[in-house]
Amino acid sequence: MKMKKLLAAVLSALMLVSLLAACGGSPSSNSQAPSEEPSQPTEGGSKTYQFWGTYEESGENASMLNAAFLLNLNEDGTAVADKYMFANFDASDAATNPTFTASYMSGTWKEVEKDGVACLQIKLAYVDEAGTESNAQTAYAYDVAGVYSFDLTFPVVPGMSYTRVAPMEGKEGQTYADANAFIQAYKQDFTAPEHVGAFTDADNNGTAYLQADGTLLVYAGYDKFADGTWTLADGAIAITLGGEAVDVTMDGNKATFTAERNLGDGNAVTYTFVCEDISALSAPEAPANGGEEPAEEGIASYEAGGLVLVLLDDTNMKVKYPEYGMERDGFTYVLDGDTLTVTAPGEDVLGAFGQIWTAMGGETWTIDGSTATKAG
Amino acid sequence: MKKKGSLLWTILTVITALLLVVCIVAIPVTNAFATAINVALGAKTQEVIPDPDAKIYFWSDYENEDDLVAFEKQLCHDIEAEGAALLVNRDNTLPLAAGTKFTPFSQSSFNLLYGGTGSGQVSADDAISLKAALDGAFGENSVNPEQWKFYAGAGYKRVNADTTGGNQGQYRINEVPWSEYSDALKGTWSQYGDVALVVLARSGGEGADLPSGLPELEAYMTDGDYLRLCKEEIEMLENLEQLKEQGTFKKIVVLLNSSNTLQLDFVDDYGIDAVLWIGDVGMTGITAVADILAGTVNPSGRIVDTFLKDNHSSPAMQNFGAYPYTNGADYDVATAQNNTDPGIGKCNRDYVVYQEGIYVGYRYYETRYEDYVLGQGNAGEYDYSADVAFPFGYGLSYTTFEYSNFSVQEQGNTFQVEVDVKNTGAVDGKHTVQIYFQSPYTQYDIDNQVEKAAVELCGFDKKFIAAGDTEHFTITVEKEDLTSYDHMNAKTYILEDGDYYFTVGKDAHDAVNNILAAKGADQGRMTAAGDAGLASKWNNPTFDKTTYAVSSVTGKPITNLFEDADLNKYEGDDGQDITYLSRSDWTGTWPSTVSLKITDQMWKDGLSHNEADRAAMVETAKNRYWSDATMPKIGVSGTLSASMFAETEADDPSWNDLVSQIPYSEMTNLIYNGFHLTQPVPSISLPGTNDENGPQGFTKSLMGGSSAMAYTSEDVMAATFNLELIENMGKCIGEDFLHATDESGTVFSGIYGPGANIHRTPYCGRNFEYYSEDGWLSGRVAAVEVAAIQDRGVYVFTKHFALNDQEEGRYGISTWSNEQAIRELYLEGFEGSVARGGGMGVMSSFNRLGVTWSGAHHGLMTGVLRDEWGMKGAAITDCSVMAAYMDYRLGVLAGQDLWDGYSMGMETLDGLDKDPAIVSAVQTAVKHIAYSITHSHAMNVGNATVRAITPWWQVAIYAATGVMAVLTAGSVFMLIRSKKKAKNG
Repeated sequence: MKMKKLLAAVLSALMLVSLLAACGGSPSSNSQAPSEEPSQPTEGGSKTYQFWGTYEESGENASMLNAAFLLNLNEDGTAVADKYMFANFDASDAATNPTFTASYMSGTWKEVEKDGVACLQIKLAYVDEAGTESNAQTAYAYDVAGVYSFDLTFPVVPGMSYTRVAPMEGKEGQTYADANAFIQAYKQDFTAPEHVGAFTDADNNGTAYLQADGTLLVYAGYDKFADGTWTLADGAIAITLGGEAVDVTMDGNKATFTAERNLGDGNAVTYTFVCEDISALSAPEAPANGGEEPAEEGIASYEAGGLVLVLLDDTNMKVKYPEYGMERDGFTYVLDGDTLTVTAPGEDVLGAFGQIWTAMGGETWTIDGSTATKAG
Repeated sequence: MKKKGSLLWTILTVITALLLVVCIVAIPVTNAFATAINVALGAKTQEVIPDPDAKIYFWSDYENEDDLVAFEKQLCHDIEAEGAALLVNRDNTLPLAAGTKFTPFSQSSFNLLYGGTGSGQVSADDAISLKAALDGAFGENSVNPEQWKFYAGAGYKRVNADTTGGNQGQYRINEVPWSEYSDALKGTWSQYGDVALVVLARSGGEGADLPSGLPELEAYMTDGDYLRLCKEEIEMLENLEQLKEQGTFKKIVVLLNSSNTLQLDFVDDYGIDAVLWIGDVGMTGITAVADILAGTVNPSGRIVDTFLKDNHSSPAMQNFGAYPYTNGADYDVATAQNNTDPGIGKCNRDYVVYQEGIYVGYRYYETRYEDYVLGQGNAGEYDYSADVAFPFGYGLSYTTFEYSNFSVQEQGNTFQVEVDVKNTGAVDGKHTVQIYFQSPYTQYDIDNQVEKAAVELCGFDKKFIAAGDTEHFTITVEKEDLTSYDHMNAKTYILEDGDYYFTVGKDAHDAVNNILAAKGADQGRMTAAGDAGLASKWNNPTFDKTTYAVSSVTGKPITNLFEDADLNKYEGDDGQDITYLSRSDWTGTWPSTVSLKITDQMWKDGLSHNEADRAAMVETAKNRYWSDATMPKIGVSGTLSASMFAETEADDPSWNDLVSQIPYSEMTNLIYNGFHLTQPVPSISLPGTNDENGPQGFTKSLMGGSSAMAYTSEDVMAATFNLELIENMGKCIGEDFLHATDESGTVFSGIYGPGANIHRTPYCGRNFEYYSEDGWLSGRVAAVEVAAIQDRGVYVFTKHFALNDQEEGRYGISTWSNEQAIRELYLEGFEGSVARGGGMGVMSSFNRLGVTWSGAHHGLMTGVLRDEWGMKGAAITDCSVMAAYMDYRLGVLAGQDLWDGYSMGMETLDGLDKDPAIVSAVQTAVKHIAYSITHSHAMNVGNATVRAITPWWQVAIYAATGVMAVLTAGSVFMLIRSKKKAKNG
């Protein structure tokens, strides 16, 4: 028995080492000490400071870039910046959390006077396993009502000049007790869209959410990659994606459809979404409009290419450009049967929106349901 | 107990099996990202065993880095000293007396702008502050310390847009509101009241143009326009004017700290006494600014952009930005993309039309002015003074200069222009002589849509002139520079018959006034009387459409190559024609926003992401450009090595023998994976190299290293009009690369720079990376800089080739223009780099010409680059990471050589090793890459042995896989054994 336990322990240890090797890390890489001693004694004496900040982009692949940083300026003059990739939604313990990197950048700090102003001089660099520094920077943080700030330039790819900037703020002392407290403060929870039912693809971690208004949102993990509509009538479910009908196969009450996620250049993942019992679903409350934001204002609104024409009252209208989150008031209209005649405001009102209106808008539109088509 | 043992082995079997699966899956996944992982981990992929007898082709001129650093700091100072341009100096406010006390104003005075952001960002860690510079020039305690501390703690700071995924809405000026200045602080001002020094800074950056009128930014900037004074700045200037009237301040001096020209509609207001444009000052440039203020340096910079009172008055601004095709939804462009890179937007959704043709910058303002004065061209009641604050080439000095004895002599293919310049003031100074010409605008031009600017810069020189002395300038003007591109009839460069004018002008407007004076124009309509004595007329008796129809570099014919980028010539546009701006009818052809839709032909010709369509494009390219290709030899046994070709000319046939030794997979590996490096090619012992960003200097400075220097923005460099300074800077940038080569043999031998696009409008986010609104000047400066960089053994990739004059929609935007504008404006900077400077490479741009991605545009990448300009080295793409619209097949067939990315599942050249056209194109690309590397300091290793090695992390994965396989097998064995035992027991 002892032999077996010993063998099992050895096997477990080997597995751990192998796994870490496969991940390109080592036990020491996540708790790496700064490679160099402070060049000068710390002038701050027993003071410590802690800084925090984030870099955040929107987009499908934000999980690869978005990060929160925790920088500790320690008593011994060392500066250690940890990195937490919060957009991966992993808030597990820092010691084993693959999205948390202790000592992503490190260096030294001291209190100095620069051009007559007291500030903190913070030197940081990425230090690889061989102790080679790259992406070195010297930053100065100034006291603004007890809060210090500086811009942390961090490497997206260590060792190369592809960097991004995270604005950092900090205070004397310790705001976050440890890395886990920091993770808990910056963790993000994935919030599934509101839904009344769902199709799932367990093998590929895909979910198609059925919303009450008939909108269908299709996710791969945490990333939405398609949207469409769903309707339910006479026990049958109909689905569209990107404006096109999708084949739904039925096996009793079990419904199945497939959707393809294009990864570029012919690479794609096919998802097979299954809803085990569609009889449990209720029909959507209102017809969906293809996944676009439903009109919540005015007396009517019309999809008009990439624009949305919102009739505010009997004469006034606004135009939205959802792609860029822009909109402009000041339009007027006359609706005669299915013909909508629009008068745009002057350039002084339109500003830059005028370019969009010139390119995509028009004076005369033909109304068909909730769609407006530019005449001519 | 036995059940427990069985359970233990079951668990271990499951775990090891799962880990084995993870390892097996990890192998192909990590291999796809191998280049990125190697770079991130610093993992070595080659072993270079140097040749002990290696010939050193390139060496440093500096014995140690300290000497180099000292020289570079002084050089950056000198560039700023000669590039900063004095625009206003009322009552000789400047220079200031010794001991002058300053109170700085604006948060930017504390947070000076040293450079732009993005890939061209340089480290400003060691940059000198405004306070330190002023203390150095005027003595200690020259700057109000309380004001300085106030800005340090005020908490206001400029904000740039993010480089990737950013947008114009992120820019902020964030000036301190006047209400934030306390009474106690105001009480300190009179002690430092000699000068209120106002710094107006506007930062640009990669990824997003500057907002030029975003409604959602109206709360932060006037009319949502980043280049106008914001309300906090207006309030500050209004208060300073009052304080000046009350005697708190004696003078108000403004520094314009930006490469994007602010709208200068305020310089005659607010009691402003002096205005100095300083651009982005680099690491030490601000010390030169202080020296100018103190008078130890006499300003001699001349602005290289037209500074405007209304930045929206230019024709180019009528179509600036990314405009979505109106029927994009029909082609599902919102989702049907051909790339998945984070931050890359819609690669086939947008377009922009250069409807203004050649009338960019001063070519518009000066030409319309001349036509107004002469009452021609339906110029209307054009008010030049309402638009232009300071003309191109403008700049004041602390002394005055006078021209005399102006003459022009025709000498074969050139003109010799001579002029005497007398320093008529009391102080020494440098002066730039600017030579402009005017070519005749004829009925032929009107009939054939050839446009002519009223003046064009064609020569310059700069000299030091002691007070009271006279210097004689002799400047050679090349007749070739007088030509026009006739894209409608002759379809080549022409030199028309008629009267040409030459003149020497203090700036472009002075030049056109001289010519108008020579023509006897009505002075009542002119802004100033010109000097007819400073203009010279030359008559060309014959219309010449043959001399310049062949390349002076290669001897090959020059004809239309960009008809597919001109909506009036492209056959697939379904009648969507453009009216280009013409000086024959200014009012009638004034641009307005162009509305375009995608046609089926446009989709099939380039916009489509569909593989079937792209395969058809490949076949078209093969048939059109490679129809004679025969299957070349590949991977043959041979003894040639790359080092043998370090001094071999590009047209030597032995290159084919060298390249034939390389297996297909090594060639595609080299082409695919060029993200800031080149892959080693063991079959010819070609070492892998490292390439880094420019153009303000070696941006390895972001990663440490004492010798890397951040110079000024490119516009300041150009504004020096001093090519000797440019040459010194180019050599120093090359030196920085030489010194970055470490003991392990990591070679930095290629630079992503300089930038040679033009300032089509003031709002391009990367104007700091480009020289000027003038293509010709850009080309002259680029030529010198490129030649100097390469003199140190560093090959260039001049960027972004071409027509990438904005950041909005840059990933795949369709850029439409006519060929005259393309050649006379947008290619000139690159032509200077390649044809005049011998630049070995360029970086192709993200955008499209028409519907064709620039790297896949054969006319651009081969027709112009190789056939007309004779480029010998490699063309790299802009960052191609996961940007599959930069298709490898279409690229190599067009003349694109190297991809700034990693393949990552986009390997469209794979499996085509039996296709004669593809293999021939691949070999051509590899030859170009090898030429650049073998003619760089990478060859200092001599006939080294290059061995590809498996990086440590791959070894680790293989080892882990092996261990897991053994452990799984062992666990399974033990599991079976324990179960058997349990069964038997």
